[in-house]
Amino acid sequence: MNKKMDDRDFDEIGRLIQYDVDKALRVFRSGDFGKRLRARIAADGRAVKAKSFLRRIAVPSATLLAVSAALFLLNVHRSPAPWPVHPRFFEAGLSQLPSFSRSAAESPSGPARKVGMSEAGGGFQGALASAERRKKEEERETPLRAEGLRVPVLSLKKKMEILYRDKVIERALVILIGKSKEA
Amino acid sequence: MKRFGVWLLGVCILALNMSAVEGGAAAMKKAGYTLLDMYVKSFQEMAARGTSSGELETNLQAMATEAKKAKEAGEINLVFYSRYARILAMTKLLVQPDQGNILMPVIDREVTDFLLDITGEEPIAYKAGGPPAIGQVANALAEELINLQIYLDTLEKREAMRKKLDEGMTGPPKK
Repeated sequence: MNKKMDDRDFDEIGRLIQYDVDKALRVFRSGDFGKRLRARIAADGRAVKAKSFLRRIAVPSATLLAVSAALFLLNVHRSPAPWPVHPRFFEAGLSQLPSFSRSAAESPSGPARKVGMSEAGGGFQGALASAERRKKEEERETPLRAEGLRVPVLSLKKKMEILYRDKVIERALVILIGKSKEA
Repeated sequence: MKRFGVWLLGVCILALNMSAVEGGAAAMKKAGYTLLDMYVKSFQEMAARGTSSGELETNLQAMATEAKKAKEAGEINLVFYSRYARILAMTKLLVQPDQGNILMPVIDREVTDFLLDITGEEPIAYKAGGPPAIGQVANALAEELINLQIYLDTLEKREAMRKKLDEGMTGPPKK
């Protein structure tokens, strides 16, 4: 058992190792590992690219879908507007609002603020009052065509009030027919 | 930043697309509403400050001209036009002087038909004459104006429903 290893044993071990190395090299060369490795690297690269592209378009697509769904629902379920809302209506209101950049010292405070808000038109109340005025002006006259007559835009409720409660047709006809009889 | 740009572009395209789709029906409704408003407003003014048959004649002619223009431009459909024109004609028949009562049979027949069509009423008050007669016809005119307003309000829903029903009968159009 304790026999000392001689040179022949070392040679034998060396041969065995060399055999294993040659065998591993043969397997490696016959399998074309270089090509397989390059293919694997390319496949991994494609997967990463596809994943990043999907991630990039996911958020805008979801947002677009949500916005289109909201617009669609708004379009389908909104009640018919008796008159179009003009952008100038909002412009007037927003232009009257106090600037965000204005310092606190510049803004009116105390009793003066309460008075000044509606008078000077510098606050939210002023903006609301101005918007209300603009709305009334727009209600008063809306052109049918550029050269056509100018008429108000009346809602169904307003028309019903004028026609049923005020009975304007009946009153006007009574005046007209009365005059024609007098004549 | 790029993502926000893409998002903004998408929203703009959608908004433009939807406004273009809405444009046609909205224009049609706008012209109809305006014609109804012209009639109501002119009577409101005449009732408030008094009037003459000359002023009414001018107003009626202006409304008839605008209605005809709107019809020719495709801004109102034939249903709206014919009913609106009937309101104008009925108004003119009522107030125009008929010396010697020559047109009386024609006016009576037209008013009777109008009352039956719109309110379903027999022309009892009308035949009695005086203010009740005017009240009965004026009520029918007001009723028809409100009917036309509701017609415009529901025009888009009506057309969408009709389209759906037609497709249900015959199936979707083949491409």
